[in-house]
Amino acid sequence: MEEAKIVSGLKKRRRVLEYLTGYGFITPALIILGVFAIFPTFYVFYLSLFDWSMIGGKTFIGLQNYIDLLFKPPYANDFWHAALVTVEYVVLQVPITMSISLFLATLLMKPIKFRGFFRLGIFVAYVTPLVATSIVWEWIFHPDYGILNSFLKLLHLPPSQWLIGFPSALFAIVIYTVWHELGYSTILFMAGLTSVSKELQEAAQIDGANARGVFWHITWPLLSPITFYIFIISLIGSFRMFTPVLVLTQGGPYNSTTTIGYMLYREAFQYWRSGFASSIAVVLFGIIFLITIIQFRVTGKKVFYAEGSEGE
Amino acid sequence: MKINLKKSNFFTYFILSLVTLIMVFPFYWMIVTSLSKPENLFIFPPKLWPDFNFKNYVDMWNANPQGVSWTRYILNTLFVATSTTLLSLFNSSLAGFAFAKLKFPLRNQIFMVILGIMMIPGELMLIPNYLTLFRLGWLNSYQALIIPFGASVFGIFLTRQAFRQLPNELWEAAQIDGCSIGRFYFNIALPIVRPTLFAFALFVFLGSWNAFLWPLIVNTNPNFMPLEVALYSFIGAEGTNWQLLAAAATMATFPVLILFLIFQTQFIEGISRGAIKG
Repeated sequence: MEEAKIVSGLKKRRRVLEYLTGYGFITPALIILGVFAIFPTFYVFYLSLFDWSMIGGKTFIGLQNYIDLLFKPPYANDFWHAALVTVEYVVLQVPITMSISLFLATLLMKPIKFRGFFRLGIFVAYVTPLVATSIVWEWIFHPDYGILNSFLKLLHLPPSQWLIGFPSALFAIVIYTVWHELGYSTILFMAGLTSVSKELQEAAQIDGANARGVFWHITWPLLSPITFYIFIISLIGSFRMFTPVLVLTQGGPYNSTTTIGYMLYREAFQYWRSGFASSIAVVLFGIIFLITIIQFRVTGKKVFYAEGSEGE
Repeated sequence: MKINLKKSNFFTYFILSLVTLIMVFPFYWMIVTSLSKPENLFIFPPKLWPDFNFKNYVDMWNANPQGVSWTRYILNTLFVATSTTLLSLFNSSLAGFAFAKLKFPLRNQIFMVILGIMMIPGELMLIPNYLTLFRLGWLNSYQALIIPFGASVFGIFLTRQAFRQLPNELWEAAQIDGCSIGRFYFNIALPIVRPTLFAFALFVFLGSWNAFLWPLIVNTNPNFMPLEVALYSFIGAEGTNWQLLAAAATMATFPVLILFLIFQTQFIEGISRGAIKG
């Protein structure tokens, strides 16, 4: 009896010790994530209900910031314009990046020489700092001395104003971001293609399907989860796009490159309208949250899952 | 070995070479510009070969519009990136280990909450975090650039996956031998998952080196500025001096390029693995 009591007591002590160690181990991470990720998420909703300029007192105004942002000129004009620019940017950038990277990934999957070299060359832009590479592209886009217009001149094509023109500035930013992001989605597509079953492709070939047939009837459907994943992260990335806008155009000319992400920065840290900027952040969060929900819905039901891609 | 020059393969090589050339050209052009004589910048057709005018680098190095040297910016970036990496590596792997191997009440619930953070865009946190740092008196300091990134959801997730692969027998055997949890974590578990830790460290370091928006907001004091932000103010000051701007951009890009060239396999595999698992 006594012995059993002691043993169970020891077990209990050891279990309590494990509990305590467990909490001890997660505490440092929890403190940082709590202070800099969980708390701010709730706090920004609270801040969005105030008229406030960071310094000085807060005035509670309820949903007025949201009403101003969505319905009341001149703020609403700015916001809907930024929303339109963001959509234009998404509609241009995402399909271009995705189609080129899928094409490149299929080429890179062939048994070719120098594969590592090509992959490296295509990917390297992705890891480089945005401000540094933006400087180079600003020079490439220079309307008078930029190499891009020199090239157009050689081909007897009309030069463009690029970053200082309308609507060319948006195209220029799209070119820059496609250049910067292309490698990332190419790598993801390559990972997706690796998981597409070789046997199925070969079986289809034996049954007389040509390369295009194999791609559209076998590879493409099997690739759908990764395609959708890339689509979603590109979409979210586009909504948040900020640094290239700040460095290359500062939102101009005539706000033609002001995205929602850039508008948020300008309102918060140049005009110091903190309450109003908080409401932009909440709306941006709402949009991204909606996209994520749609992603969960779609991947949960319709999209074919490649083997092993479910995670756990 | 013979290169197979079938028609379709020729097409593949042609397209891949062309795209690679286009992708790499801006880096080449950056170096050409940074080495060109000022009078050769504004000519048509553009001069595609460098002049090897290294004086641009000396001029760039001596131009300190904010009164702080580039050495300081580089050291700032190195210090911030290294500290962030070490801190995040430590905190994230500690939590990852607890979520994978230790039992405690509400373990899975807490983990789900942490995973939920992944869905929140960083923009949402900008204003409150700025405010928090302001109240802590941390604006314009190193800790403003380090502490908020001192733990990573992705890192916790990644290390948890790795620690789960450790056989439970190993843990039980260690306990019977009287090995404490802390010693088991440090001396046995950590060394086994080293490849995962290394890949994660690379990503944190790179992310910190390239960070821009956050340091731009919380740091207006040049003494604590990292390279990317210093470069941004350099654009304003040297706006028309393209060869100096290109020299500065080359200087900021090169360390990343070298790091990437050395560890490219880990980078590329880390990204593919993250996608398939995530």
